[in-house]
Amino acid sequence: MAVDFDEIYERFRRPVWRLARRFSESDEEALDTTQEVFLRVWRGLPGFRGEAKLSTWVFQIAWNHFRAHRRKMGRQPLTVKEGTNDDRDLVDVAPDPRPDPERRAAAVEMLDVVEAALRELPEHYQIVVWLRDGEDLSYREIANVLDLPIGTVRSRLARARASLRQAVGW
Amino acid sequence: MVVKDRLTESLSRLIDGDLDSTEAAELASLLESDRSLRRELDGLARVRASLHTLANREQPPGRLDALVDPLLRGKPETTFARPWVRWAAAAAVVVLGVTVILEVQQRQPDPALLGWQERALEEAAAKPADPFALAPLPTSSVPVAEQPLGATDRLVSAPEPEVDPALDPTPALEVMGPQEGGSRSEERRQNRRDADVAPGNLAKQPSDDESTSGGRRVSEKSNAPSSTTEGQVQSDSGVAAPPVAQTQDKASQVSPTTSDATIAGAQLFVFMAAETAWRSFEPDGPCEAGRYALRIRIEDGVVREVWPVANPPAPTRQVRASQLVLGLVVDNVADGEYAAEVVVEPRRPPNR
Repeated sequence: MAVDFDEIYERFRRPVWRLARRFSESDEEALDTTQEVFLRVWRGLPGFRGEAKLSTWVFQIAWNHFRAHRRKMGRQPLTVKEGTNDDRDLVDVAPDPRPDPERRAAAVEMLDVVEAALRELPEHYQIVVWLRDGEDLSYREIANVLDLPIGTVRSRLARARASLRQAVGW
Repeated sequence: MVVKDRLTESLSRLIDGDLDSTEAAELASLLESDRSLRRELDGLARVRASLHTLANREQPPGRLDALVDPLLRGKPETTFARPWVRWAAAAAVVVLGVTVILEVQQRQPDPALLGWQERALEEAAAKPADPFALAPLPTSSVPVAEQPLGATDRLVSAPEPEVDPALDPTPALEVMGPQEGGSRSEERRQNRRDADVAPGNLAKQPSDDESTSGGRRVSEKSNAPSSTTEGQVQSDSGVAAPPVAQTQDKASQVSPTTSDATIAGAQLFVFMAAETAWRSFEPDGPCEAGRYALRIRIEDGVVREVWPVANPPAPTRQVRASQLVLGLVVDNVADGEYAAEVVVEPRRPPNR
């Protein structure tokens, strides 16, 4: 299976960066880890036979590297990071009868709360819910990336979502 | 609690569309009857939507493209650009290079790596025409006989020197000595006293004297030899002395008339202060080949007295050697007492 690295980078630059940022303490660290992940992908690309789905293969490389990096740095849990101002989808996510400026401010605040609650989750719950809700991977793909039974993925995902709902107060 | 967890998992799966139709229908009937369950489902859906929004709002910085750009161009320079990686790589290259150089110097080229033509040429060159022929010595074009002595190849190619079995090293190193039990001074005094022994007496009883008076001094009182033979006394200064007369009757007086067939000739060497005089003569008495140390007294160019100087245990042959030179003419040597040596040469076999 011939896969061009440019194509892989263009398709996975944002997901890998998001995952890196979620499991890093700063943007600089996230940059370094993202670069390392793509270097590993670049090195491993000649051996990629296409037996696994491309997204599964890339996320597997990314997650193994991030986990090893966190173990090396001895960090647990991760700290809360500042969010960006890209809140275009927030109105749809959190419908509110208040006027738009107030709603937007409340939504941004709510997103920060959700992210803070996400970072408080244990790592094995955090990665499952992020791969499903943040990156839209299927249960099967998550099971392959994390090398878990699909039933475990289902249960962890349900518990993670329930924890976040309780933390936010929904 | 277990039931609650199962319901939460079913709600989570319902959001993701993971339930089959049967499970979805059962859950839908529960949701219609349970308001808290509907609120929970709504909360889970908001969590999912919030996380999706979080993912969408995160954009990678532009520097990421610059960092990954070498990979896009096929050159992963970023990792190699790290200082410790560069140093490690440089050290590894140096070590590898030194190792390769040492290995190349120590190893012969692998024949399997050579071409078949080169191998054929090498085999043809290495195969000798006569497998038992010796390779020529690395000598110069100068014939071996003309090469200077001491050259290594001359030593290698020179024939083995012939060793005369008649040259017994033991008598050649034998020296004469005084009478038994006497010191050197006593020996000299005793020899001086023995100088009065008449040559005629010595000639008359050679065998008995030889067995009993070894090392004693013998002398020739006669100043006028009865007859002479042609002889020549030379000095190592290179000037040859004219032939002089040699006593002829000495042989009949001091030695047996039968000559030793194994003796080819003899030389007398007289050691003076600055030079050595020598002459050849025909031994006219029996004596074994060898070298004999003597002291002689010359008077009027003739050896008048001879006595041994060393201390050998058996004096028989010493007396014979002393008698050989008694009366010899050495007129180019001033009168006096000198150290001397008689060299009696063996006769070489005819085939040598």
